[in-house]
Amino acid sequence: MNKWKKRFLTAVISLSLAAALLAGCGQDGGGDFQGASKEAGETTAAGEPKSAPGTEKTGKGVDDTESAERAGGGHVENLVIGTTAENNVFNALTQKDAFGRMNYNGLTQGDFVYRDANQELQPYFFRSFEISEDGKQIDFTFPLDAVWHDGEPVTKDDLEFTFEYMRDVKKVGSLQNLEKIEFTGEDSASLIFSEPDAYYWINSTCNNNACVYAKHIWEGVEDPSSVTGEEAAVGCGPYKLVSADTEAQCSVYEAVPENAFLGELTVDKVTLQSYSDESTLMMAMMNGEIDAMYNYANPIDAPVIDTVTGNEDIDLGESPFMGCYQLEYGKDRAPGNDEAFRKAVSMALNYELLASTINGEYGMLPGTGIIPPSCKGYDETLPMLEYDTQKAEEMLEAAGYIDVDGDGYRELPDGSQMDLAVTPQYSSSMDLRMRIAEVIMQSLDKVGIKNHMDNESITNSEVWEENMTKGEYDLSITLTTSGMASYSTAFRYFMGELREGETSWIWGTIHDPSYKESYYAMTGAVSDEDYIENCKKLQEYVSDTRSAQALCWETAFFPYRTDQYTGWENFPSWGVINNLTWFNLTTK
Amino acid sequence: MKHKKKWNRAMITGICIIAFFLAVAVLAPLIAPYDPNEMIRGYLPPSKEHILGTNDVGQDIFSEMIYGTRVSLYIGIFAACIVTGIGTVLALISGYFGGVADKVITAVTNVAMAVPGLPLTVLMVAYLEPGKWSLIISISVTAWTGTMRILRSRVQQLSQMPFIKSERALGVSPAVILYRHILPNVKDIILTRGALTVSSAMMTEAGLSFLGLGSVTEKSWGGVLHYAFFRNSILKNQVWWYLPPILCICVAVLGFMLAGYYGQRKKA
Repeated sequence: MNKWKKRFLTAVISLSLAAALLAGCGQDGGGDFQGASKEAGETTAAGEPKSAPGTEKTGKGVDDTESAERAGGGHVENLVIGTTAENNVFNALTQKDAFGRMNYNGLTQGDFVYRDANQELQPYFFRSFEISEDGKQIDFTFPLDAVWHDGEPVTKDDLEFTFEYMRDVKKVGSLQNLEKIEFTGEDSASLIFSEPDAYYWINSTCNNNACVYAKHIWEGVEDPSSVTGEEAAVGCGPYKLVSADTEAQCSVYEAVPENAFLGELTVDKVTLQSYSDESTLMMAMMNGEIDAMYNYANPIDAPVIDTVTGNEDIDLGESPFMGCYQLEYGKDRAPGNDEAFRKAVSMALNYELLASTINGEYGMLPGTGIIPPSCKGYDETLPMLEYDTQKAEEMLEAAGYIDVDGDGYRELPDGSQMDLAVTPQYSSSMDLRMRIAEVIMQSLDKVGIKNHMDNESITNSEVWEENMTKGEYDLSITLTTSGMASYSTAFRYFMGELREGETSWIWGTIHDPSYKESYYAMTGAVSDEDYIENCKKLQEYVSDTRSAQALCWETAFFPYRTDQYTGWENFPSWGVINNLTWFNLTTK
Repeated sequence: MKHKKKWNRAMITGICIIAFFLAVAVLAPLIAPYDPNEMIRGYLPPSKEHILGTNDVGQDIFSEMIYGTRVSLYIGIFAACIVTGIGTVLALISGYFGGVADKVITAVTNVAMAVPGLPLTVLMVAYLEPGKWSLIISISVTAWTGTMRILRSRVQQLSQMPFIKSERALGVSPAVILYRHILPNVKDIILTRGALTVSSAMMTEAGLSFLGLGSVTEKSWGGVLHYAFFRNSILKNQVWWYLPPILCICVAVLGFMLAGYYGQRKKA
């Protein structure tokens, strides 16, 4: 009996192992989308040239002739893009993972507009657009031949649904004053606002997946992340998702000629491959496995870029970075609410070391106005930040921060103990932020300011968020991404309260109404002059009050290979993967 | 004379290594040329001023290594004390008293052994506030089971021996029997297990620190290695940054493992 039991058990185990082995070999972890092939090397024809989009008013579409002239070479069969974002979620509305981030470049979605290399808005799905002088209306035209990736045509109903969904379901703050969408012709419509929010909406959402939503998919869906099927990836952008392998962390996209918004699509197929970190990403680029990289606002770290420097087939894709790391003082409590203290701390920080920590040899000393010179509205008249520990100590003493009990650390002016918490912004990768915190802590220590790391916040995102939203912090290290910096700027993060109806990013502790007024005047500006004027007011405000400050101005690196393709355009702070890539890139 | 027989060459070598690292840990402020937190200039290669160069934020790597000895040994030794302490107490109770106590303790031990140690440790470290004691507690939670099992068998054996039985018959209290007669007889096992636990705890600490789960504000070998890796010292061939912590971990662990040869004799 025992012998038979043993034999039976052995047979079961052997069969299980064999089955597991076969399953492992055959597993691809993902699936085909829309029935398209995912065989390597198989390409789709780019299709017939499309008529040029309108160039009326502010429109600047790339026409076919221009595209063809630029092309010179042939179509790119398969553009392989590397990223460190994950290839797990394929949902058009959640902006998650590599798929969501790639849609900032209008890959699978019909983004209304895009921001060009000069930070100017250009039409994408909108064939043209114009904003009224009072800033309360946007007139736009749209294509009549665009199709959803499941074959359905894009209709006026979809457009109407999109704006209503964004306003009523997604609660997009900049659309809260949208009164209606009015169709003025076969291919034209107007968005009418009750307040001058037209610039604000289009600028603040242009890098944020402001695109057409398919009514037949999203109608009645309250929580977009709950849609997880193939339909979640359907868009009306120039490429459709044809396969996704979550095990191999790879997704493949094929051209949809009907949706070629800026002229002929010169890239037939796009492959998006995820890598575990930047080092492996760079290794893959050096080996020729990938042609370019895209990681939204995360350029390649300076120590990593050194490893590809000197490779003649790789361009570093260097540009001044618009985003920056910044320090905000918690002004809801002492000593952060004391301007003299803030100025003294600002003088005590070792900016050279911060620059080398954040951006290696490419880091630059920042100015007092926070935003870097590459941002629109930068005020070059404001002074640069200064590092002088002796002066910092004198300032602290003059402000009453003296070591009363002789323990080597200063007390508050009222004689009570002072121990500042340094809180780096919570992230899945805290290494650099921890290093920045270390440099700040060391700098503070040198001038006798006792401090400690906010351990709870660095290990628990909920604690961090709660402390930030309640203003319960002393020194907070945060990052403004390049997308945010391009219009909303770092100044949004510093506001104590947003205007009614908006709820995101309430991390700041500036409660001064004049600051809030300037901020909304900037974002609601109806012209560049207006924007710049108010942007300068904000820079002046932070420079004078030192409510917050930049820690370093950076150089961004988005490297790409130059040996096979031509037509790359490196958007500053963004890289060569952008809305134009699909229409400009050709073989050499 | 009896004691001397238990000493052997491997164990003496181990003791010497441990003594060296202990001396470094205790004398760290005197030996280290710089404050390990002092930031001078980033990425300096080895020189007379900085024997192992400086790291990304300009801290002297040699000084980091010296101070790192403190944290690594502290965690290793304290974790071993806790693990060995818990294992020994439970083994004495379980092995000597038997019955319900033995069944309960054995059941708890079996459950603890079934829990995957490393994932649980990682999970606990991630949830606890970063610090040395979080690491010590996390490492100790499941690591006592091996010591407990080995000791329990030996205690069970001893408690059946005539001299223990006669002590019982004379009405000597269990506490005295355990402390005066059984504990000295399992001393060798406790010391050997303790030494091995130190090395295993040090390895776990280094692993956790390498993953970025170590003590945030204190220097440890694993922490040095973590930042060396994060800042791409391997790709940039900065051997002076990533190799010393690896060597220190290896040698210190070897030291404790060799010390674990206490009492072992060569086969004839």
